[in-house]
Amino acid sequence: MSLPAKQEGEKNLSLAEDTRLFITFWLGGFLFALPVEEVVEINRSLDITPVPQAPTYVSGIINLRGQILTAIDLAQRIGLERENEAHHNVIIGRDGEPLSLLVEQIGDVLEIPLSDIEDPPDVIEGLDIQFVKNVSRLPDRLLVILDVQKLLAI
Amino acid sequence: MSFEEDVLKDFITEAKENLERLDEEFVELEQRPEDRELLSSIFRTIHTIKGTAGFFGFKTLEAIAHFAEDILSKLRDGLVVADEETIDMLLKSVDYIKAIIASLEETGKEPVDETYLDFLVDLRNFADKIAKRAEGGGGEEKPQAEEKASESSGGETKASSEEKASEAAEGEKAPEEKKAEEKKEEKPEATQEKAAEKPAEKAPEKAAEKAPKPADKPAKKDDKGAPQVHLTETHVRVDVKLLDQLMNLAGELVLSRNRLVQIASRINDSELQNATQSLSLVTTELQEKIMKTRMQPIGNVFNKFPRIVRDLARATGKKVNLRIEGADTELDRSIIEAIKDPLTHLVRNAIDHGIEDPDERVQREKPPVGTLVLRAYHEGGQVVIEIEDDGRGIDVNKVKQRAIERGLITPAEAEAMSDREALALIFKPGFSTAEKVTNISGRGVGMDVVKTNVEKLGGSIDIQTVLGAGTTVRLKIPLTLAIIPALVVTCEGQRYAIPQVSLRELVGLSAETRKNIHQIGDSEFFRLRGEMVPLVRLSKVLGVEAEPKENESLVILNCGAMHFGLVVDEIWDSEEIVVKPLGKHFKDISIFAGATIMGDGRMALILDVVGISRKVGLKIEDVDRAKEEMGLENKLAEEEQQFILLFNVSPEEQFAIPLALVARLDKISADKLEFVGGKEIIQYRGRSIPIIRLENYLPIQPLPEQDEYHLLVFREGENEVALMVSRIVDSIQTQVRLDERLYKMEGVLGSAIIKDRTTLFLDVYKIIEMQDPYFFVKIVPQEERPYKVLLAEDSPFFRQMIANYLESAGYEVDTATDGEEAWEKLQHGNYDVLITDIEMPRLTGIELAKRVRADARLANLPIMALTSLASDEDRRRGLEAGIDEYQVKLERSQVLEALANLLSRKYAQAA
Repeated sequence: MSLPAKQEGEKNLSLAEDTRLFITFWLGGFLFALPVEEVVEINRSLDITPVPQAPTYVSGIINLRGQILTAIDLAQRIGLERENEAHHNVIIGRDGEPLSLLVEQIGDVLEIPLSDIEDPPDVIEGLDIQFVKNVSRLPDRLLVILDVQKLLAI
Repeated sequence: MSFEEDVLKDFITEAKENLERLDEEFVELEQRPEDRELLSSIFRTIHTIKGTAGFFGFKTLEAIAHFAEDILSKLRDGLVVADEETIDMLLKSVDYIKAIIASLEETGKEPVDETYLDFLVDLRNFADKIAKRAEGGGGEEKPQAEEKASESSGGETKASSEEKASEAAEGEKAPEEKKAEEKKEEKPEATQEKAAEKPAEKAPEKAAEKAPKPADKPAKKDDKGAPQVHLTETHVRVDVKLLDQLMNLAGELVLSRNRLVQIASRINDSELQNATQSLSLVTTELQEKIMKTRMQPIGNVFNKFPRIVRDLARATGKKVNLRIEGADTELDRSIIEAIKDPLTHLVRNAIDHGIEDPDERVQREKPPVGTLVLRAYHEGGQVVIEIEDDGRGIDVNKVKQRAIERGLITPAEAEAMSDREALALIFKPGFSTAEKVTNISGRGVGMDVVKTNVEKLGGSIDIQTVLGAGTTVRLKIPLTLAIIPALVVTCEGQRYAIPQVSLRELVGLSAETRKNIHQIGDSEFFRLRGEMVPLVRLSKVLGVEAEPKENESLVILNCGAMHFGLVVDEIWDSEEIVVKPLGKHFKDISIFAGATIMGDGRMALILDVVGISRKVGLKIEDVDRAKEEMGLENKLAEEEQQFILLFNVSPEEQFAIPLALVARLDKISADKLEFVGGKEIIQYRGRSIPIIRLENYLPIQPLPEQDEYHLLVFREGENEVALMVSRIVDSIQTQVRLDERLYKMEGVLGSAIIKDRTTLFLDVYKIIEMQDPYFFVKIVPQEERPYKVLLAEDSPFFRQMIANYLESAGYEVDTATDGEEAWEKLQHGNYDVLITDIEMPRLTGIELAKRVRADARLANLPIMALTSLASDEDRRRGLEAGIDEYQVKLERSQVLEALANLLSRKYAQAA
């Protein structure tokens, strides 16, 4: 499934209150989010070929329509204990080398007012705070917005 | 396509682009007639066209561009202002140039047409007018007559027209011919005919001839106007990224096609099958075409070198003549990019270190101008690039000395080193042979970097040098990085691809072959035909858990000068794979060269053979040590495998001959046999061939009567003879352990047990000679006494056979069963020539040759090596050890011819 590119997203925002669209997904009991414009596409389970000697947070490589992408075990990457198998691919990296982040479950697309987006706290129990860009307090839980640049960096 | 055609194509493409731009610029110029920048740009474009036209010898084009440039230079320098008339003229020039370019593209020749020459005259007159205007300012409306007069003289004195002067001189005869010429005007066909005879040479001459024409012509011609030619684009510039994407998609299409073909074959519907088949064909073709878009002639890199070489030669005070061969050899674009730097380095090296100063060269009786050859050609799916100089060569001793100074090796190691190993030192990091580090070659980038870069491309590098005579560096590079043939293997359930270029051979590891695995220290080695090959377990390299397995396989891989064996679980298939790069997260993993998508849509990692050998730290020294430690075991003579043909004459007796000796196998029916003039013959392919019945020469059971017989046809030059047998049993590859004692008779080499039966090995040469003593052409150099040959060969089978054919050719033969025995015999006996096998227990042929060469008394003994298979690599090793000739054992006639040549060469020299 392809997602709307940046321009569209921004156009919508300018109409109403200043908001931002986020793709959300579940991993290790957390609800994570990435800005819509940062996500290239979302895929259900793809075959992963392990690459020996690779860093531990790398699950292997996947075949995305002929392009070979690196699949990142997101839980490992951000220091999270994962409970279930992570089979869904959230593909990021619009310009440059795309990466696939493996997550447990895809959530809804959320539109969040800019005013509700906060700086992260100093510590979030159970995950590496350096990958967290912002948080947003939803009625029932905390939405953790990840830092795409950090994820794309090695 | 030749290099020149290629350049012409480039020129046309470029010219067309520039001309399009010129149109716009001229239009702009009319708005801003004094815009210097604009004028300069136009001037440059025309100038380029003029230069290139001159290079190709397109005289008309060059002349038009020349005069247009003349006019432009006046405009640019502000001497005259561009008025409408001037710009008109210039635009017309551009139109003519376009027309010529169009014709060049179509026919490769300039058009032969009066109008071009007429225009040229107009243009020239106009250029002169402009020139005068520039000089005198004003007096432009000079009478025609005066202009005409100044034409011939003025044209010559003008510096900028100097090149035209010679042409004008050629046309000196013009005045006399003028009348005739004028008459011809009335019959233009005649002139055209004349021009058509020699269009190229004629054009300028005619231009000059016509130049001094009275000016009544221009008026007439102005009406004609410039030819309106629209240049069609035949070349498009395409973003390389787009090509890569196309390549990628084509790869995907191939995979989808493969899947579809599989499905179609299951469903078994003829309509579907037809459709898939045509899809299949189109896909293949599409892929090939897209591959082609990535291919570029290596000339794209080579053509940078004339300049580099010239500059370097000047900087170093040397004289170098560069020769480029095979510039049209095509290579993948990405490889062309990648070899640019290594090549530049090697060329610099050749000039800086290789080619001597002119004085030094003269002293050494070489021509003062050195020759540097850049050569490219295809060989076995690879591109070979050679950089060859006729300079001083590499002094191996200096290399060793330098390596010792640099602490790369110890003096003891240097002592033990072969020349080849010593040359390999050049590729070690931190090595530079130049007496002084110059700013040309010694820039901190060594040959090690060159080697690494070449190996990264899946290529190899190799140096051959003859001291005082020159050096050749040879790069072998795959044609393309994008699609490569690869062997697919498995390890712990995952598939891996090994590029075929690195592959040497495959060995199944059974209980039997496992005996050849030896543990030395921490390392394992596999003994492969007497050679110790280090073993690497893929599971260990990958760091995956491995369960012990019954059946594994061994892949012997080439890695530069050495090879190693990779133990894998299973060997699958060989297939063409599309190489895809791995992401940045894997950049520190040197053991993978990329990944590929297999036919089933799943992926396989591509192993990087060089990376693996680096990772496990394989060193040639380890192999040498292993060889030493294994030295004792080597005594068990390892006999070479050979293909033999088994056959019966009578069903009870089995015979064997080496398959390689047989020219053809065939069947004939009994009624084809004829008995003519005391000889049994058959008609075979329009010729009569004599038949040999073995029972006539050997005490064996006779050939039973049959309706059909098998023929083993042997050939020597024009002569053919056939052995008639009842049945071909088999052809097998085996190690022959020949027993020579049991059967001692003419025509039999010995016996061995093959397939549970005692089998007689026949000496085919002997038997044929018994039948026809003149069958074999005798090639023995004239001598009063026969030459005495020492033959060192460990396999009794070959020893006998070679000795026999040497003897029957008139040599006196003494034999030795290995190198050591040969060495002893050489100490005592007097021999004219040594013929030796390479792989022998105790002392190999190479070592024997080295020993012989090191011995003062034997140093000049001619040595010929015989092997079962002579690769270039072996040949080179042999030549370095001092072996004069290299031949394949079973090629009897070639061996004899080469031997005779060798002897006459050697002894004619001595005499």
